[in-house]
Amino acid sequence: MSAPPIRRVLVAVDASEPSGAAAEMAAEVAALLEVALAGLFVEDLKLLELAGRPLVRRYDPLSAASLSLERPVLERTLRAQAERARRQLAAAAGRAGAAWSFRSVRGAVEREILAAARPGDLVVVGRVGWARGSGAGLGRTVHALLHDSPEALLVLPPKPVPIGAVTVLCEEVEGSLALALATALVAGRRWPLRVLLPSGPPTPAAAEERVTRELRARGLEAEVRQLPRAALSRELARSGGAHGLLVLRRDAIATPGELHALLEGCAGPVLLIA
Amino acid sequence: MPSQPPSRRRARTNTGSASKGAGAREVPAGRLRRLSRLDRLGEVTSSEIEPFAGVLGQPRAEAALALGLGMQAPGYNIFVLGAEGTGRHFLVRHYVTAAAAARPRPSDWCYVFNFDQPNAPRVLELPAGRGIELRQQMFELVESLQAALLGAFQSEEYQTRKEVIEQELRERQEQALAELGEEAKQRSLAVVRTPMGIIFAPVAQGEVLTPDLFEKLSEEEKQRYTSAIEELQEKMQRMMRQAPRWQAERRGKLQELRREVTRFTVEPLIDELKARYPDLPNVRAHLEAVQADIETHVKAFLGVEEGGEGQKSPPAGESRPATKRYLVNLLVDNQETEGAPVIWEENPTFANLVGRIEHQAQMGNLVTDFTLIRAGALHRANGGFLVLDALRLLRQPYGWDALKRAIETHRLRLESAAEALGLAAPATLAPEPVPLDVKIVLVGDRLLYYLLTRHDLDFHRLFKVAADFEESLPRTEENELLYTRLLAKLIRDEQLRPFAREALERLLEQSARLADDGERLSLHTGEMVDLLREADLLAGPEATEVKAAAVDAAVAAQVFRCDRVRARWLESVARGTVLVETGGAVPGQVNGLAVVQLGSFAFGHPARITARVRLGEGEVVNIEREVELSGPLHSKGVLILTGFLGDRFARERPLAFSASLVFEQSYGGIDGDSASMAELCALLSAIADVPLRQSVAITGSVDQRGRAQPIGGVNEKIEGFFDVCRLGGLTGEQGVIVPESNLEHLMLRADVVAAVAAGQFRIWAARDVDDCLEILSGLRAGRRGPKGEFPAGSFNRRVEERLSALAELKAEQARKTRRSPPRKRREEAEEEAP
Repeated sequence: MSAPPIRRVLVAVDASEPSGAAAEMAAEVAALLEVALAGLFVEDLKLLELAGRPLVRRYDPLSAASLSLERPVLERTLRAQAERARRQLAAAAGRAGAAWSFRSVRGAVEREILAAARPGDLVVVGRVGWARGSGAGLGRTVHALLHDSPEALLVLPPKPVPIGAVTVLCEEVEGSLALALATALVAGRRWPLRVLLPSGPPTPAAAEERVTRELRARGLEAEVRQLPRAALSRELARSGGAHGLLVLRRDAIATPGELHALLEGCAGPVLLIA
Repeated sequence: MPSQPPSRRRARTNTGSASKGAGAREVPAGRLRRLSRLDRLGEVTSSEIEPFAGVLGQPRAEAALALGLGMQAPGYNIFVLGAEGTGRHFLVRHYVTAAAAARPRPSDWCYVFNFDQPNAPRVLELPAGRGIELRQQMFELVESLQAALLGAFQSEEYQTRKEVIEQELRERQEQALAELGEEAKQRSLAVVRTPMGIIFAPVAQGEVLTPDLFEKLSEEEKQRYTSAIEELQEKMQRMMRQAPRWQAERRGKLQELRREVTRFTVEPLIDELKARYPDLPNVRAHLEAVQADIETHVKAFLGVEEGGEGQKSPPAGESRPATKRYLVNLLVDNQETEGAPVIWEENPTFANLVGRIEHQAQMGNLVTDFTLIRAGALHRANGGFLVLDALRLLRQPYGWDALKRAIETHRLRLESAAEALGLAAPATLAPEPVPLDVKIVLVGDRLLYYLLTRHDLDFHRLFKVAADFEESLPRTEENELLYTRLLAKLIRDEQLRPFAREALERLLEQSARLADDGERLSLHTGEMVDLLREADLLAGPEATEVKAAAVDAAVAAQVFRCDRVRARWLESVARGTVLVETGGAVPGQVNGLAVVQLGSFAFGHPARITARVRLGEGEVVNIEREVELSGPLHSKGVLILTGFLGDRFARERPLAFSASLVFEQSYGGIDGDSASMAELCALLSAIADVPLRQSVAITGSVDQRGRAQPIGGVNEKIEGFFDVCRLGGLTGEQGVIVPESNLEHLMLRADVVAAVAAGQFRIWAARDVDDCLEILSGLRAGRRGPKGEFPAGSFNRRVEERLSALAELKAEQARKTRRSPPRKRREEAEEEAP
C-alpha cells in the first residue's frame, strides 16, 4: 500500500453540465492525491467539418429556430465554450485547493485526450458527452479510452451524485494500486471504505485479516470482505448501483461486455486501474 | 462730618417713616454661629450611635414616589427633582426595588422570522424563562433537521424515486428524439446532438454529404432531401417546444416528492415541539409556519442540490445562513429576574433606549436579519421600571422623543434614528412592535423639570408625578439627633473610623453652613460624605477616631483647594490694585458686598459703590445698566430707589436732580438686588453731602418703603469684608450691616465670631434704610414731625433741604427761560410761518 503513482489528474471538459461536475470531481481528487490538475478542451473537428455542408440545419435549443450551421459561428461558439470550461475548472480547482492548468486543442476528441494523457495521469471523463445527451450507455470517448486504456481512468455518471462510500476490489494483497488509490482518497474525506477480496488463489486465505490490520496501522477503519468470484461480481454490481466510488483493476472484469455493463449500471463514479 | 458710630443702646428720638423699631441692633457674638451640642448623647463616638436607616427629611418626595410607583394608570411616570447629592438615587433605588419585588416577573420577548412578510420580524411573548427554552429547542431542531433531512434525501428510496422522475423525462426526450432519428435515418438524414443544438445533416452511405457530392445529385434527389428536412424540421420544432412543458412537469413532480419526504421527516419533530407549548398558541402557530416553510425551502438544509453533499458545516454554535430563519432571537430573557426588572440606563442614547438593528458586512454590503435585533433599555425594563438621568437623556439626540412615543403608545417600535425623523434610510427591517408596560423614573434637577413643564406640552401628561426633594431640614434638636444618626450610617457605609462626639457637632454645624442657614441642616449628603472621607484621611494613620480638629482641617482644606481666586483678589486689595477703603468717611460712597460663585465654592468681597448727584429731571442712572453689565434684578433694585425717593421726598414737588450709580472697579456683570440698600445709602449720602463710614460695609435689598429685605450668601459677604479689614488690621470700628431678617441665616466662621467676641469686629442688624444711615453717618435719620418736617440736623432733613435747593434752582431756571425766550428761537418760529 505505497503511495499511488499518480502524478497528474487530466480531465476532459466541454462546458456541458456533466463536464462541470467532472471538473469538480477531478479537482477534488487532485487535491486529495496532492497532484496537479490539467483541463483539456477539444474543439471537435468532426463537428467543424459539418459546417458548410449542404442542407445541414441546426435547431437552437432555446428557441427551436432552424438555422444554418456556419463555420465562423461554430468556431466562435466553441471558443466561448472553451472559455467557460476554463472558468469552471479554475473555480473548481480554487475550491478544492488544487494547482491547475488548462489547454484547448482542435481535433478528434478521443484522439486528443489520449494524446494529452501522459504516464502517471489519471484521466477523468464523463460517461456520456454532448452527443448522447443524458441518455444511458457509454459515449464514444469512453469507448475509445477503454480500448486504449490509460493507467487510471475515472468514469463519471451523467448526473453528479454524492460519494457516500468507496468500494475497492483488491485483486492482490501486496502492492495493490487500486487499494493505494482508494485509501489515499478516503484518508482525506473520511468516506467509509469497503475492501472486497476474491477468495481462492492467488489471494491468501488470511488476506482479509491482513488487509484489516494494515489499514488500521494507517489509522483507517474498513469493512474487508473476502468473497468467491461469482459473489464478487454481484457485490460489485450492488455497490456500483449505490452512490459510491468503485475502484478496481480493469482486468478484474473478464470481458469488455461485462465492463460496459458495469459502467452503464453504476450510479456513481468508477475508477479503473490499468 | 461726624463719623462716630451710633451707640448700640441709643434709642432714636425720631424714627424714620419706614421704621417702627428701635434702630439697628448690634448682634452679639453668640448669635453669629449656632453651635451644635450633643451633650445629651454622653461621651460617645459614631460607632455607638444607632445608624439612621431610612431617608431623612424627604416626606414629600417619599409620598410622591409611593403614589407614582403604586399607580397603574397611564401617565403616572415620575420625575424626581432635586439637587445633586440629596439622596435622590438612594431613595429611588429604595422605593423602586421594593415596588419591583412586589410585582410579578414579566414575560420573555423573542423575535422570530415572519414567513409572510420577511422584512417584518414577528414578536413572540412567552412566560418568563420559556424564551431561552424555545431558543434552545429551535436551535436543536434545526441541527436535527439538517442531519435528518440530509439522510432522507440521500436515502436509496428518495434517490430511486427521484431517478424515476428524471428517467421519465429522459425517456420521453430520448424516445421523441429516437423516433425522429429513426424517421430521419429512413430518409437518409443524420441527427447529431451538439453544444449548439440538434443538427440535421443529409447522409449518403453513412457519411455526411460533401458539397461536391451534393452537387452531383439529381435535382429529384436534392428535392427529396430538402422535403425530408422540411418535414422533419416541423416535427423537431414541435418536439422542442414540448420540452419546457416536460421540464415543468418534472419540476412539479420533484417538488411534490421533496415536500412529501420533508413533511415525513419534519412533522414528527415539529409535533413533538408543539406538544411542549399547549398553552401558547402564538408559539404553536409559529411552529406550524416553520414546518410549512421548511417544506418549501428544504434546499436550505441540503445545500445547493438536494441529494448533494450539502454545504460545509458552519462553526460550532452557528447555523447555516439559509436555516437561520428558523432560529429564535431571545430579545429579553427574564429567567433569572426576580420580581419586576429595574433597569438603570446610564447612557440613554436613542439606540440604548429603544434597541437597534445591527448590520453585518457581507460581500461589501451591509445586511441584517431578525437575529441582529438588539434589545434596548425599554425592552429590558418592560413590565418593570426604567430609571434614567433626565439631563443625560435630553442630551442625546432623539432619545427624549423616542421615550415619549413609547410610553404614550404603549408600544416599542424598533427603528433607526433616521427613520424616526422621517429621513430616507437604507432598506432594513420593520420588526413588529413590542407591547410596552413600563414605569419611567426620571432623575433631574429642578430647572430641568420646570423647563420641561413649560416647554414640552406632553410632559405633564406623561409625567404626572413630581417627587420634589428637599435640600435642607429644620435644625431642631430632634432633627439634629436624626442627622447625627444619619452621619453614623454614612460613616459605617464608608467604613471610616468612628467620629468623636465633638467631630459630629462640627459636622452638624458644617451642614448648617452648607444649607446657608443657621436654622437648617443640609440634605446634600454627597457633600457630607466627601467631608467625612477627607476628615478621616486628615485624622492621620495613628488615630483610632476622628476628632473635631480633623473635621475643621478638612473644611479648611476644602476651602483652600478652591479659594485661589479669593486669595488673588485679597492680594490685589493689599497691593492697592483694587481700591477698598476700610476707614474714614466719604460722601456718596459705601462698601457694598458681592458674592462670587466659583463652582461649589463661593466667597464674598466688598465693592465700592459711588453715587453722584446733579441738577436734573429726577432720574437715577445705573451705569452698569448703560453698559449692559447689569442683570435684570440689579436694574430692578436701582429703579426701586427712585420709587423710594419719590415716596419720601417728592410727594409735593418733583425731584430735580439726576444721579448716577456705579460699582467701582467692576468689570463683569452684576445681578441680584442685594446691593440696593447700599446703593440707596450712597445716593442719599451724595444728595445730603453727608460722608459715610468706610469701615462699615452693608448688604441687603430695599423696598420702595425703605425696609431692609433679606439676601443670600450673608455669611460669605460678612466674611469677605472681615478678610479685607483684617488685611489692614482690625480696629474694632469695622463691621457689616445686614438685614435683620438675615440673622437666622448666620453661620459665620469661627475666626469672625472670635473677632466679634473680642470687640474687634461688629455686626449690625438693620430693619430699614434709616437704621443703616444712622450707623453709616453717625447722624440721626429723623422722622417727619407733625408739621411734616424732618428734625433739624437729621440725615433726612439734610436730604430734603438739598432736594429743595435743587428744586428751587430748577424752578428759577425755568422762570428765566420763560421770561426771555432766545432770539434765535423766535426767528425760527417766524421762518416756519407760512
